[in-house]
Amino acid sequence: MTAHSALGQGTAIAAREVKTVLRTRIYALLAVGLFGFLFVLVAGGGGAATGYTPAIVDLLLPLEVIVPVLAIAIGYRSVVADLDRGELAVFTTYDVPAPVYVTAVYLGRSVGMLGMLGLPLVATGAVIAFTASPDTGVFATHSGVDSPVLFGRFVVLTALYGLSMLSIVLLGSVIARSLRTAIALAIGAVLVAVVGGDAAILAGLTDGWLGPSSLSWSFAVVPNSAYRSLVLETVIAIAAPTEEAYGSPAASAIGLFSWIIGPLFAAAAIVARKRL
Amino acid sequence: MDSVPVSKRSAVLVTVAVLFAVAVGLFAIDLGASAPEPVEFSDTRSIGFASEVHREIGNEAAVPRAQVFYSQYQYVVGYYGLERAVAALADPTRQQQFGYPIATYVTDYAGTGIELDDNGTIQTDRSTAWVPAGEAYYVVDSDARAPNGPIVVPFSDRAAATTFADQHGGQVLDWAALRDRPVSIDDASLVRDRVETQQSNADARLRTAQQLLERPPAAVSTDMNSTATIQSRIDAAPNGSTVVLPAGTYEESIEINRPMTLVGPQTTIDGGGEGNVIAVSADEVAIVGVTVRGAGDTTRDPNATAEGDWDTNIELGYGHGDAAIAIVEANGTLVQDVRVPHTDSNGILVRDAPDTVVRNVSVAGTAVWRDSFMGVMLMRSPRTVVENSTFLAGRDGVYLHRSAETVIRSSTFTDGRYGVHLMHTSDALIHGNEFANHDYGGVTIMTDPARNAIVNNVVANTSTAIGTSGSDSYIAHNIAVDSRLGISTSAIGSLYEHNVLMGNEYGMRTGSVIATSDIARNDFVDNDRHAGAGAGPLRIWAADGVGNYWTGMYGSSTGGIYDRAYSPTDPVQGELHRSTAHRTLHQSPVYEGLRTLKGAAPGLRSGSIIDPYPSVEPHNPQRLETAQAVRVEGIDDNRAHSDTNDTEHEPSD
Amino acid sequence: MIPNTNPATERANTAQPDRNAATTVLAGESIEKRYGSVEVLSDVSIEIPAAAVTALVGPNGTGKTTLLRLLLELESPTSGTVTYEGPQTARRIGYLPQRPSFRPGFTVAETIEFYASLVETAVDSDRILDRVRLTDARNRPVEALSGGMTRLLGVGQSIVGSPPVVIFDEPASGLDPTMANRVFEVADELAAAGTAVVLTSHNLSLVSRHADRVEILSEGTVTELTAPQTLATRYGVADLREAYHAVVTADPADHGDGDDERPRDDPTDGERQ
Repeated sequence: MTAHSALGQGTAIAAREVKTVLRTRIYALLAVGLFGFLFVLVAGGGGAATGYTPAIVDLLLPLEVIVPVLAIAIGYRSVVADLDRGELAVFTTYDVPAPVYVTAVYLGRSVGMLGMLGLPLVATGAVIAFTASPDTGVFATHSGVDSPVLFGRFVVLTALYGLSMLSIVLLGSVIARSLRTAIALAIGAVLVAVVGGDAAILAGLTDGWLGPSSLSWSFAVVPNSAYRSLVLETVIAIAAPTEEAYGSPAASAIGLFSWIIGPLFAAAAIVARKRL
Repeated sequence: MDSVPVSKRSAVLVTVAVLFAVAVGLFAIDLGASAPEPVEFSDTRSIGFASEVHREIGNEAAVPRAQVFYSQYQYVVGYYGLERAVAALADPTRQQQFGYPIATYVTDYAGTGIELDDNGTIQTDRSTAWVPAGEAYYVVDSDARAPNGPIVVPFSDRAAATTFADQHGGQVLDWAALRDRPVSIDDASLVRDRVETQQSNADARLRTAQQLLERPPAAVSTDMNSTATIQSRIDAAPNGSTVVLPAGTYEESIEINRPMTLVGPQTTIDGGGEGNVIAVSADEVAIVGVTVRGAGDTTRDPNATAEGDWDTNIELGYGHGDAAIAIVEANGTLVQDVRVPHTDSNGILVRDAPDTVVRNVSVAGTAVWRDSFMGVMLMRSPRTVVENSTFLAGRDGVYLHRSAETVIRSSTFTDGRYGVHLMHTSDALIHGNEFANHDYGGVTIMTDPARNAIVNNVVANTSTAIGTSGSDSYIAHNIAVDSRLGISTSAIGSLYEHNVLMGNEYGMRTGSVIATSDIARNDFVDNDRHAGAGAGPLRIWAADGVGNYWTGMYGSSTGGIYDRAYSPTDPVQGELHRSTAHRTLHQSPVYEGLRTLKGAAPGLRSGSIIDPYPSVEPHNPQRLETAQAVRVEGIDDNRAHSDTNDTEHEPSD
Repeated sequence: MIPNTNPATERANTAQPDRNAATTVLAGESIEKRYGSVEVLSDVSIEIPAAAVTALVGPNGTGKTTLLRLLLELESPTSGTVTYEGPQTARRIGYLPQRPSFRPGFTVAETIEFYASLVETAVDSDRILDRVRLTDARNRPVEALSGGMTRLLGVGQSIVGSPPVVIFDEPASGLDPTMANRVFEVADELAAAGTAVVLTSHNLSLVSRHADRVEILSEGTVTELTAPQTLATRYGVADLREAYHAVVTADPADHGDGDDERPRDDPTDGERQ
């Protein structure tokens, strides 16, 4: 197996995943639905009329909940369906290495994830750009530090959060032996990562084994907390600075990336040892 | 391996690389780096001077100004007077509402040839520039003054500042030192504290005017029989005497051009529908007890120019119509116990006649307000007192134009266009009046004046019960019921407290893009919507840890304050008092979570009002009962000035 | 194809002179496979020659599929070795699973092209479709294919990259006679072109007609490995079917033919008569 053929195989598998996502109409519907939902959120919250930052504040919590759901929708079948069809066994006759397969499936699905998440978010940003203009022409206006850049950062961070969730869901799909267990595993993995992590942090604060000084670092360990603290720190704190930091951005960024890479490593290791 | 062509693959690679670079680049941009350039001051949303003071100043450069760009506020905020800017920058709630200041500029007097005239007003030869506040030097405690007191004068150059201080006194400070210096500015709390004084000042003017009732009767000459005209009696009377009119109806128009007192409790004067019925053109005239009818139907000067500002023609035209009593260029007139049972124009017209007292008067206009004019028309007549009077129908009960420090109290206004209508009028007190059934408004303030007090009034069944404008005003202890809008909180830097808003379509509504008022201790009861807000920063309706009372709010509480904040503009909370179903949603953890998160970044919401300390019990239970009674029985049996903290004034009838 | 002739025999007699020289491309040596305490295969040695159809027959549960998975290196033997001895090519072994299934949403041609892109050499997808008789269905989505056509597409997949060995797991199961026959014909053609074809089947009539070599797996051991005719001769029976039963009924525990394959009722039997 040469490097070239690994790249070629990876490209082919990733391309197939992208095509699958593109051809699955439900994903397009989900994207449209997501845009509708985001639109209602920013319109209803009044954020859209004021600027990017208020809109981001409106969107942050809902996205924290929706993104894992999207990740489950896009990712839970990915590997287990191949296993179910016997394709994983067939792939071994093509000498497709497990890391290549896992990475390619992940990359392909992540294109879907980014599209499903990114397009509605960018469209929402465009809505804000049109609606957030000042209400009167009598006075001079300026944009303050509110800027599309902040919204861009928010989109990037949300995408990273989505990628980490997709990675976790993919790991669930790798562990599963059937579609039924796959959906349960995906939901379980996301719940453990999202709710369990925050609950652990809260419990740690309550029981005292987590001190205030280590709090901001602990966010890095939980993907959604890392996401939240990154948004608060690099987007919202720009517009409304606070005395103290919302979290440690570097640690949170590393944490978020670890949540992308880590489950993929685990998934590749499991695929390599799996009875196909 | 060639199923993906190289060109396509490199296109994908390039796309990915570009997206990655953009994503990283978004975080590399330093958003704080580019400070905006200063703008024309006239383009800022400015705070600090009432418009009529503005006109007095004439030259913009006479007052040092500051402009502040806030991080979360799309308008540039302009401040007349650096004292005001410094006070605003020191105010933590301002940051909550607007974000932090990303750039502050102040007027630069260096190189303008700055001089002070005898009043301490700044004169310049050349126009001023802008300098970043942090780079400027400030002369404090010099002789420089604005209409409202001493002012700080900024220079971009230390030498220029020192030179100015050498010539005109004071010392030079930098920006940090200036911000550390305690400042006091006129604000609404001063207006509150002033209400008592203003009442006693009005009482004093009243006492002065009532001395006119002590004048000796004029000797009635023998050849003057009971049918002699009033004019002949006036003409025969000496200055400073009282002309007592026999009972009866006189069909004539009269002119009083010497100081004297006219008394006729049984007398009706009928002008026959032409011009003014009684014209006063001398100081210290008193008209007591007469009934006046038959004024002409000219409401204003039809030849007044239509050019200039929108209100030029008002100022030139209003005050030149017909009236039952017209007081023109006469000081200290007293009109008391006078009835104008019907007028097709004005009841009492007061033009360029300061210190007029109108008391215990009744004026009725036409049922269709367009067909007549004002009950009392005050044009450029400051320090007027109107009290214990009744105004029915017609256009406005009392119309004030550049008539500062006027006191209107204990009067009743019904069925007109506006009850009391202030234009270019600051420092007025509207106290203890009742208003009902006005097409447009009960008390209406226009044209951005300052320091008006609207206290202790009751307004029922009117379009906009109390409509404010301008700044630094005190709107308190009022009751607004069954109106389209209870109180508009458009006046900025103002205090709205202890008001009761009941059964209105909107309890309060703010139209100002600047949110610098304190709104607390009000009771919002059973309004369709308790409050509404237009675009602008988050409005926090509470002061010193005390909020308002809102029917519909419920939940756990501590020390008489609900644990959860209340937002009347929130689609769920704002409906709690109208719909039980909204309580179900109110309990949702998602709803709570969303609200909590929004709370994490305050100052970012458009068109929202939040009360962090909603009260469990009403703040004004007594007034609430009155409001309830007004809704059932109307205003007549529930006089506002019967309120406990009202200052009572004896009616003289 | 002329009916009632044995293409394997023809091939042996005429087509490939070196066929009986039997170049081994895949060899299993003393393979033992246990799952815990359960021994599935014990001491199996097998050599897969090029240019021949090698059939693995035997009752269910005798380890046919396990042997295939060991040959495919999907699993490792507990002891013994599996050695690939064929030429170094981009793909060494092709594989047709028992119930091949393909990702829905793609056409037949796209599916083959996808697999083609997994091997480093250039692949003529059209030729593959032609060989499995799916040229007319090339634009049909895979989820709209019949069971037989899906199996043919699986065969097509297995020969992508021209692997020297292809392994078919029950290629005829569940297919109508025509379709089952067609699959075996493709196996014949592949063998004729030099490929080593390994298949398992319960359809003994098809096996006896198309297989060059038959291995009967029973009780975890290889009973015979030879051409069907020789097998029949050795056991003194008329055909493979009887040979099969001669071997299998010797087992103390007859595993029977309890599943849906039912070789006894195979309709192809009737067709042959």
